[in-house]
Amino acid sequence: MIELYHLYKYYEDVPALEDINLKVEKGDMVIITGPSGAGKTTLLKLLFMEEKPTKGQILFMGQNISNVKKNEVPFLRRNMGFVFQDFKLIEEMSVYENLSLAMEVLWYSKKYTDMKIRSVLQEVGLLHKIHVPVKKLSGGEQQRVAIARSVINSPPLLLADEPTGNLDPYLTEEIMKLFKTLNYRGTTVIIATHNMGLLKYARNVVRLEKGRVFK
Amino acid sequence: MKRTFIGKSALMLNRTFKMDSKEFFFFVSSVFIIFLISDLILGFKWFYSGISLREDFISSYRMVGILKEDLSQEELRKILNDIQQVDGVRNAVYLEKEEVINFISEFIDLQKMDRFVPHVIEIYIDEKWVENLEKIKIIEESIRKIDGIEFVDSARETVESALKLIRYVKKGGRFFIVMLSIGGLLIIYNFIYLTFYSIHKKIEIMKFVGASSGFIKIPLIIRGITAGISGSFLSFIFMRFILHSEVFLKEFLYIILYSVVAGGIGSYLALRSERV
Repeated sequence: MIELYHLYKYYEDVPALEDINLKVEKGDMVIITGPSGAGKTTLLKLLFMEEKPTKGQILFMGQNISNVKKNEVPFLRRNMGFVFQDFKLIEEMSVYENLSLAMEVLWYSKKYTDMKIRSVLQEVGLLHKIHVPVKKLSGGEQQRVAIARSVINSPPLLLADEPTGNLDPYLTEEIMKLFKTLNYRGTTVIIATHNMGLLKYARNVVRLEKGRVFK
Repeated sequence: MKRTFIGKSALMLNRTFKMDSKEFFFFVSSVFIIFLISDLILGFKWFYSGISLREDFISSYRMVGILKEDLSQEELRKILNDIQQVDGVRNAVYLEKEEVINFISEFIDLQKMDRFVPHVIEIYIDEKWVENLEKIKIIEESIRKIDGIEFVDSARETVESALKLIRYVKKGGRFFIVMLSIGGLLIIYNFIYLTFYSIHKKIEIMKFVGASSGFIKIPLIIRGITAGISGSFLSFIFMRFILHSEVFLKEFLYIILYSVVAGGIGSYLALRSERV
């Protein structure tokens, strides 16, 4: 699914990632861990094409995305879901409107969008809050909406950057179980976290330290 | 499963005009700013075109000819006739003594004047020749040669200076309109930039969920153009029907075009700043 070859990322002269070589198989659940500043978020940003590597190659589903053109990025991103620590939801909009945005960009019909939103909200247990504005939801509920949005188009890859960073231990477990369920259904999941307690959910663990893979 | 062309158009229209309260506030404010700037440009143009300096100067220009003393009525008629035959002369009028006195008394204290009032002819020149100083010189010399004419004054230096001044005033006016238009463009751009900045989180999220550049840009550019059309239309209505100014189709089309370009380019540049 993902292959990284001699990947480097420098911010001016400061190295953020150095010589990263990594393979993530289809259906894997990988947790990237390490202390703050180890390069976890940078690695996810490179995978999500938010930034470009200084050197090296990233292959995603066999395609080199390390130097992809700006106008191709949205189309490649449709094969990925991304979950953020701060949820990145539009708070004034309802749960339904937030999810429909992800369907609209792919020009899905209203009928199909309705059906998909109900189905994905059923999965994350929030169907009863479909028309509630996001700002009225708890942190855990907001993160479940964010996960629902990231998987609504059934992307083969799900990336999550500190998805439980803002949640208490109970909600953390709830969210991780949700990731596990999605992984069982075939979605490849890559989670970046500094919380060592989450490692039990991983099939594979990659530890980063000072921008390098720690072996 | 996917939308048809009509479905896609309906979605784009919905995305263009469905605004939350913050977006609506900024949209209305953009319309108002465009309205003010359009009115300022239209108002200045209206005021400026009202001052027809060049036309007023040209239509009121005339040469003055002083005649020799003791001319008979017959000789006077002949002189007037000869002057009218000169190429470029529109008309020549003999001034009655009272008219000359009235004219001179504006400049000279007649009590101190020790000589008698001269016989004066006013010579009107074809408007198309007034700006041509060489032609005026030729006309002046032709009239001077006519028997019975003592002196001709075309005030060529004054004409030259006046025309130069009028040209500067015209250029200054045009420069002011251009600067006002550019300044307006920058203000409109800044305002649209603020509008988009207020929704930059929404734009960022759309990018994260895989929205193409066109999907994000098109509704916002259409919104900018709509703000331009609405603002300029309101300013036209205001100028034409409330101030009763003479703003016609040409000015209206100009200001619509300006506002559409300002709204469209402003939106496009603002989106580029947002790295869409």
